[in-house]
Amino acid sequence: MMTRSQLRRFLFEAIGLFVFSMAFILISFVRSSSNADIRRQQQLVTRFAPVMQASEFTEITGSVFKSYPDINSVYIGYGENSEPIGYVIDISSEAEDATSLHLLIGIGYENAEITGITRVGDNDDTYAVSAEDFKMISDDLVGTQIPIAFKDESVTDDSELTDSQVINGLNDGTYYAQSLTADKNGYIDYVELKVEGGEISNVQWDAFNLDPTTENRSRASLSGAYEVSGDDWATQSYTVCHALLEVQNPDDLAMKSDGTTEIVTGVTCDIRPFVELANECIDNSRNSYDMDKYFADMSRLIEHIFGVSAEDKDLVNNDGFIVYSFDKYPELYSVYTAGSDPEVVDTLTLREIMANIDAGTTPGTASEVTPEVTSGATPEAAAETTDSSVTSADGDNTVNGAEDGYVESDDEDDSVLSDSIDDLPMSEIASYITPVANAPAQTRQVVHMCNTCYKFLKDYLNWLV
Amino acid sequence: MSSKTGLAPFIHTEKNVPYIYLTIIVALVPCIAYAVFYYGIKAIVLILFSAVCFTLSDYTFSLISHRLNKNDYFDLSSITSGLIFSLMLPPDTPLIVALSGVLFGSVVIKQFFGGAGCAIVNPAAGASLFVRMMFPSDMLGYSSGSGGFFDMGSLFALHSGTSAVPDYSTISFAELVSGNYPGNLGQACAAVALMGAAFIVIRGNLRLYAPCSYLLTLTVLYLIFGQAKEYPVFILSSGVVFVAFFLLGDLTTMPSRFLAGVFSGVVCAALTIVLYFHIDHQIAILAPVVAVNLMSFVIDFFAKTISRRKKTSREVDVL
Repeated sequence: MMTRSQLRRFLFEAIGLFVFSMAFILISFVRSSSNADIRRQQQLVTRFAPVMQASEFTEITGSVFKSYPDINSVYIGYGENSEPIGYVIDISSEAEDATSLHLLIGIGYENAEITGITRVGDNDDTYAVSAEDFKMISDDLVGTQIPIAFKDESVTDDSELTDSQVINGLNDGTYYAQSLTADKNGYIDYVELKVEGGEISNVQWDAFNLDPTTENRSRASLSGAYEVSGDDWATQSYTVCHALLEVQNPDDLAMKSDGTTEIVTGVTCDIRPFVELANECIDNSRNSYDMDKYFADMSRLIEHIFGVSAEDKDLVNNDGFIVYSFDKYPELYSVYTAGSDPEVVDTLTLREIMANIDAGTTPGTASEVTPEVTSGATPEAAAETTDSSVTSADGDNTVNGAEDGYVESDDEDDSVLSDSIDDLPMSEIASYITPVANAPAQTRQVVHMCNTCYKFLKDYLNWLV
Repeated sequence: MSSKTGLAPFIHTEKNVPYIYLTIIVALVPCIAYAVFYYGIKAIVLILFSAVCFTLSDYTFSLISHRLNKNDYFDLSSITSGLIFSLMLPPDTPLIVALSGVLFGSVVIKQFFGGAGCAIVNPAAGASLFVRMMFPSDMLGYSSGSGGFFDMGSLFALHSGTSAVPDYSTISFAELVSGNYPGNLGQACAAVALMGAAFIVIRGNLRLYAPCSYLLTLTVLYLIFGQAKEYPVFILSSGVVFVAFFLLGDLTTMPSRFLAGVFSGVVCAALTIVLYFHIDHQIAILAPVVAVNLMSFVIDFFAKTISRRKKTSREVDVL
């Protein structure tokens, strides 16, 4: 049996030894950390070289990893000037035959393109795929944007989709439209739409605020300052933009009378401003009224009202947008019914307002503004559109042909937005590839892992593509 | 009035069993501090879990086998074995793997042979060798604490992570000395192991024959059969310093005589060098320890015979 004095002595000695050893550990840690960092970076650069050429890598952590058990680790790669150039994801996934494939996948920072795929080939990697087949799969995938699907996995007939829904008469270019009035939070919605080859190729929907100190709506939603039900607004905006790219026609988003849609998964917010502004952009495209002309006319309108330019009135924000709500000038954009008790039946677009001003039509006497005067699209152009009517010439773009979520279509099974690949809606698929002839299952497995990476990055980074 | 007294001989000394084991536990404090500093909460959990489970397992088995400690001291050997075992584990070892090692070390190696003081193989060495041979893929979790100080995810997984064993050849000398690289919980930093060893030596509880001959022989043989420039990496990163002082310095399972201790150290080192270049490094280090433990009775017997040729007086081990 030990005495109390012995135990006390042991306790003091243990404390002394602890303090001494901690002092040594701390000092030696500080002195060796720079070496350790350099060594770790060299190891990472060497290890990730086949998938990404970066000068430095930093591992990212977070609770979102719990939702993705396949993902072992994720690193962000930085270039020589410390600018982020992409992500390297270490992922292991079990195949249907219970074997496991372990990959390193590099994904570009700006465009979400796969920069490289390599097989780790450790003890966990037991998946049966030959080196030649894997190289072919890798070669096919490198350079493609995630998420990815096979060409034959598009559940609807692409040609039918294109024939029936692409809007004819669009001129290539970048088109823009913004709300003339701010919402109750002071946000002014805008849509920027790019047309290439007669098709809508890129859409962005966001909103800037009348208060210059308030960040735009997407950033505010990511930081939690702007909240909507369901996913954050930025994600919903992103999703609905991709949905428009898929259907090519805002009316096919099946907006209901309350401004919501049920066919775009994950979108619960009011998409009325988006549909209206997208239709205005389409109208502008038909009339070759591009973004530059829009901004020029917006400046002219400000000058027309105030007699000074937008810059002089300090209405141009840091992003170059003209920030003004025309609430006080409803006569500029409102179309009234004739009679003693006029009611607003329509609103004019900027192009139509400027046409009226240029034509000398007195603003405010909207009853005199005939639909013919303010017509955006020619009857011929309207006729070129197919059964899903596009923005009507008179600007009635509320719920054209899509009242309460109904999408007019000959094909009742046209469920393009509800189908999914790897739990991703088809509207999000960015690239379609043909599987390697000798290894379709193996290609599918690698594609599945790439799509898992996409889902992770989307969750982790609140990706706004 | 009755008094219960054991049989003679009676030795009155300050260095009784709890004293010796408590000395070792205190000597392990630098290694534990190192483990917690680099690997965070999960190191504390893994170390405490192993020590507590080892103690509970020993107690339960003793209870079942009606061999409870009747002495008037608390048996600290279980805690010591649990601590040493845990410090030889990779940081990402799941608790379930640690538990299996603890049960093997406690029940099979220690209790089956009579409990504290009777084991013929060091329980920590046997348990560590067991988990490395039975769960090789779970002994590769060298995450280097990248998950943060409070990350404990790896402990509750069924299998360890797949972090590859680090390439020690790329580690600088400063990192080697400080232990600032991924390694086993308490083995990676030779300097803190030496601090602990120095404490035991100062307290007079360590026979240096085997550890010193082991390290010297390793040095000589490595310089002969290995590459001289890799020697610092080997001696500082492989964990042989920890093994030398905390496994080969064990008073129960190692020979007690000078000649036997030296011989054991040399044999252990020779076997280590033979195995080191061919199999998993940790197994190559632990297997010879277990082999020497098994041989220690025989070695001690012959050493006693040889020494009695010259001496006629009663031999008393001087600690």
